[in-house]
Amino acid sequence: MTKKENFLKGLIKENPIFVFLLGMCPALAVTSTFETALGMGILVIFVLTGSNFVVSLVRKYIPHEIRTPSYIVIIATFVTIVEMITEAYTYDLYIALGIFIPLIVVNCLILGRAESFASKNKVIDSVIDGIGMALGFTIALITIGVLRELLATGTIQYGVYLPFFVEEPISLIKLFPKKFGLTMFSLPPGAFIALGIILAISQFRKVRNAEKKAKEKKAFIEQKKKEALERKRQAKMQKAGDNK
Amino acid sequence: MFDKLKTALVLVIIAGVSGFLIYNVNELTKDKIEANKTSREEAYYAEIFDTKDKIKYTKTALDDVLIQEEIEITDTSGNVIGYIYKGTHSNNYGDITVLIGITIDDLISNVIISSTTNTPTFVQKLKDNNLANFSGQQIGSVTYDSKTGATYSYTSVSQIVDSATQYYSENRGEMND
Repeated sequence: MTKKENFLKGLIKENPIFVFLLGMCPALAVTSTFETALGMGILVIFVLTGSNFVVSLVRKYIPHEIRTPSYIVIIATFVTIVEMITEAYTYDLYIALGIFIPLIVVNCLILGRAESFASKNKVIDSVIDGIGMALGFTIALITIGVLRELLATGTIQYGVYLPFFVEEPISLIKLFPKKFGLTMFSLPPGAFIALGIILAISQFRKVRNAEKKAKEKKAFIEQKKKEALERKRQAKMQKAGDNK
Repeated sequence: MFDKLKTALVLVIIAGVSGFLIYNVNELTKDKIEANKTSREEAYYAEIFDTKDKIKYTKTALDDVLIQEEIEITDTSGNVIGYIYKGTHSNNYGDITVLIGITIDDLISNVIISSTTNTPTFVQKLKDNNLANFSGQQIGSVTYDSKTGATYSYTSVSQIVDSATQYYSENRGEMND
């Protein structure tokens, strides 16, 4: 696998949320708005990249029987650091994400990548894998967040929790007034429904592509069969002509 | 034997490095975190008494089941404008911390949920629809909403408001003048 393939696999083909259904707790809990989803995504990028880097760096020195507790301590260290930095520099985001920041420790995506990839691969590859997977995770969170916020409020806001680039909150997209919004999408049932819709669309595309490929393959085989039969028929005719 | 020692040593090193990193990050961020908390709290105090002027405050720890702190609020001239009571209650969904502002005229000036681990959407419902109803109520005759759609959180808020008004009546209110 090339470095580019290693990086890109996490974005769509092996997307942690839409394909492997990993890390569903934050995917459902903190995606009520685009901004909280983006905030959680940024934190996961930092934790996953850092933990993959360290796990890969020390993989040869950690005895097999204590690898899981060791990985958890490494991940927990990064999460604690991230939590403190968030509390210090983006306090509103810290308040909005609440308990879900410490819960990154038990996000199975992070431990999963440490166990299945970083502990078996070189440092550079592990870091690339971490960034790719975390970006895929972030894209998935943002997709759910955008859908939920749009359906619930009709707008996409930025600047409420993340203080970067803007002085005051701004509306990135405004589709309809808030009073026409489906409030349910900002509540937990809305998270399940939004995720269900996105998974159904993604599954539909996957099945359609598979069917298309199967059809193309079938047509190709039919074509080859026809060509073979034609060749056989021509050979027979040629043989008959030669006999005459 | 050597294997076990090696395992223990690896764990000690990982824990040591982890502790060292966390200690240093904490040293770097603790002042900023404390400043954030203070500024958030001061913003709440100003919001409770609806003032943009600078206020001064004095905190007193209380020995009460629900109310942990009494904060005396004074204006820039040193006149007491009211008291804020900070109370915490635990329900089935976690903790909820509430600030109740009472003016020296024995009126509830505002009620704010300062932090909570209750379900955010239900807490938001209370903030949007129910907390404003406390404002302006006389402390001796506080009425509570019967239907809120967030029963557990509202019950906690009600109990804290009840304790705060009771404490104020007994210790600071006109009854003690």
